Amino acid sequence: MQKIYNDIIKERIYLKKLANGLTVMLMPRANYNKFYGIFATDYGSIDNKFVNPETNEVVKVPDGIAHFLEHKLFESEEGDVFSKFARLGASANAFTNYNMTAYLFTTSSNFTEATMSLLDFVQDPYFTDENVEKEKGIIAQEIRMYDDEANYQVYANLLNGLYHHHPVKIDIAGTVESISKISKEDLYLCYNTFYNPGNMILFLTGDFNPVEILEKIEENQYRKELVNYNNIKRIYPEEPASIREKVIVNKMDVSEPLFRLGIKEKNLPEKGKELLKQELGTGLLLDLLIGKSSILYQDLYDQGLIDDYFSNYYVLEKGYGYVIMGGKTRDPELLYKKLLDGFKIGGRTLKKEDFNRAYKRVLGEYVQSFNSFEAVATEFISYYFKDISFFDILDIIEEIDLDYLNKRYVELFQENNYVRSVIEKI
Amino acid sequence: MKEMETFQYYQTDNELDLYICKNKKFKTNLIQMIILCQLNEEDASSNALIPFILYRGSKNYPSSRAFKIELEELYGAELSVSVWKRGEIQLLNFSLEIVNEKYLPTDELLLEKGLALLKDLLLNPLFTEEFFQQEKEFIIKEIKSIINDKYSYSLNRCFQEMCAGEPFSIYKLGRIEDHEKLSRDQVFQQYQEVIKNNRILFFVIGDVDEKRVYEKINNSFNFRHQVVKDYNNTIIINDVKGIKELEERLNVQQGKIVLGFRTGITRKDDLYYPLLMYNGILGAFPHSKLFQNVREKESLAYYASSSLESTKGLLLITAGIDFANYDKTRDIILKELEKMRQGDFTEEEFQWTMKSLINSFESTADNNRGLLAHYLLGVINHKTETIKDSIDELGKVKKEDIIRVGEKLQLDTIYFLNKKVTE
Repeated sequence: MQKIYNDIIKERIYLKKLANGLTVMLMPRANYNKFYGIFATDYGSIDNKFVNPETNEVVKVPDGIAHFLEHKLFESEEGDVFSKFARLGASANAFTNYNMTAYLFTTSSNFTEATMSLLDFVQDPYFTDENVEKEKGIIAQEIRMYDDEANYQVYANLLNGLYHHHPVKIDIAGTVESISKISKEDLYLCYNTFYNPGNMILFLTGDFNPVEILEKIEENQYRKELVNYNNIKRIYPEEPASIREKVIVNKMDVSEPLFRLGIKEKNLPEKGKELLKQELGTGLLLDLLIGKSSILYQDLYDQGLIDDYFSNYYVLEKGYGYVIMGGKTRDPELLYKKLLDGFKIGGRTLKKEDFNRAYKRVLGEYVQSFNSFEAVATEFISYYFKDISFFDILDIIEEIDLDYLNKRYVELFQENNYVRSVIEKI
Repeated sequence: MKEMETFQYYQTDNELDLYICKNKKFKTNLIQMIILCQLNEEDASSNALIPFILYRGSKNYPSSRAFKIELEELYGAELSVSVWKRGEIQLLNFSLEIVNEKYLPTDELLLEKGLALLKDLLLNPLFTEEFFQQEKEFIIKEIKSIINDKYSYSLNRCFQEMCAGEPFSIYKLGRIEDHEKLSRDQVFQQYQEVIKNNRILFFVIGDVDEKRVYEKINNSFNFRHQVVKDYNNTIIINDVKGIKELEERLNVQQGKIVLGFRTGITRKDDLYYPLLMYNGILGAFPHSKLFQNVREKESLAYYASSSLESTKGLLLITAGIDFANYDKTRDIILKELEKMRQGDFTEEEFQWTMKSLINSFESTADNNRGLLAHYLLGVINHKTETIKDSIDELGKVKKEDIIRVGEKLQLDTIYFLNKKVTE
């Protein structure tokens, strides 16, 4: 078992890749009552086209299937999985995003049993025609709920404007129509392709003995006969560097217009440290240009164009990336114009003192994130899927300087990369 | 079980209430200052404006930007202001979370610098006409924007209709028409008043030296302050005259049904822990009756759950459903309530709920804001309890007590958010 200690955070992580391919990460935390476990697969909503490992044929599966599968794994032959956790005093949950699907529990007792239950239910699918049908009504209501969430819609529309073909433009849950076509055979195909141990990580954190729990995990894993497809082939469409649509406007029952500005990333590092450096550097650049302590932010606030909820962030994944910023505003077009002007001025005069301050903020927020088991676990897993250790962030950030930010500014802040999405009042 | 977190109580020379929870597990120090106000029509709007105007500028930090620059210098300390409503109490919050310098390459005393900033914000505000006008505009927009989130909107509308005529129906940020009438001087006067006479709580959670924190706050927040105002006059209503059923239409894709109940039980009552069990068996967890019957058996909803307002004594049930399934969903919910009233739940349901609640209490102790929220509810309801006290109380609940809760519970209002009829 590999041990890595971080002397800033003063925490240690234990890593082991088991013989069956499963990656196990353990982070003991003294003084905590709570245990948290998360079991994740490198499989999200964008993985909708791939090679069937048994037949070698290319298959395209219905939109929303990764999320549908997440719901259905909570069904077992003996009944629903929630009650198994409730019996232990644990609570279970799951989520699906564009890039991964994760199953998790929190508990303050019966930690070992809860960990075994997590491994067992995810590794024992039970799909029937009847239980698949039953889920369609439930997920249809989940989709309808998002249909009414204006802040989600303005974001979904933006992605649709940024991308021509990339599946990140498709809603994670799919549509009521696309999920109606899902069958138990489709679910087994996706399950068998992506839920093999070599494609998965188990992350546990809480006050436990790592050697003892690892023993139990190995015992559990080696008891099972799990098939491992070492070579998962995902197929993504060719995505042009250009944006698809400049402006997308929709109408809903809202109090005032909602606005998002998106910038499409053309520079897409494969994986690893380059990717992390670009992610951190671009985040710092955004801070300098439109962060809460920027002159532009204060100006827009004083003009009543943005409120305190205006926010920005940068996403960089394998194969796609974008900047997104926005909030509600009285005048989307004026805000757009002022942002553009502001970037031009700000981008020309990136200052060292602002950079140093933004760096301090990133450092502080990084330390603070270790207060949350959920945040730490999710970060470690999603970075691991990109071949990065979350502990490496502090080293990589040292490599970033103002020149790098200037270079990033020139690459990214070009008007032909911009898309704006607006929800107007009906 | 591990030793559970406790708060030590201190009172400063000028009657500020200070609660310190010394704790090694957190990598940050959280300081939250709360001004308690009685929720009423006259003051709600001007009270709500105060924290936002204060955060616009002070003597040493003359703009929001100046505050934000200093916060970033303090390694991204987070200062946020907000207004809450618990029962008929309005709470003005100033929350500051700072990384413990133990985990940073610096020797700066970050907590002390943070306290100095907080003091300047609270006691040396610029309170200009311009800040007032701008924040008034923002707060009016904020009140209007409840409609952007249909889930919160539907809950809020149910509360509003259910408690019409009671202070509880006032939104936490006040009323638009009252904001429009306010002047800068009125709000400034209100600020001086609440700072001088209202109960003010300080919570500090983190790996701190208690004595030093006490002395620091006692010495630097030494403004003229004496508590003369009571803050909790929440009216608890037990009996309901007829069920209100109402419907509202908007441009939506999903219907939302909300049922509002009077429990008559608040945090300080003997039946509070039985009520927690009641709510747990009925609808707080995935094993609960609502999730199992509305979602799993009938596929009617993605979410179907119940929750409590424990200072006013209310219980709320909510589900997002297809418009056509209103009657069916309501009937299933009412059937499950009838089962609860008759004590028709199994030993398993009882045990699972008990364990789930204990898990949730123990997990709360691992989260600084959760810990604060738990203790705060005790303080404002005049029954302070540690997490351990709560777990002990919960362990004493018997099936008969839960049935007694069911007998007290009264349905008051059924609200339905429906779609607009297209002509």
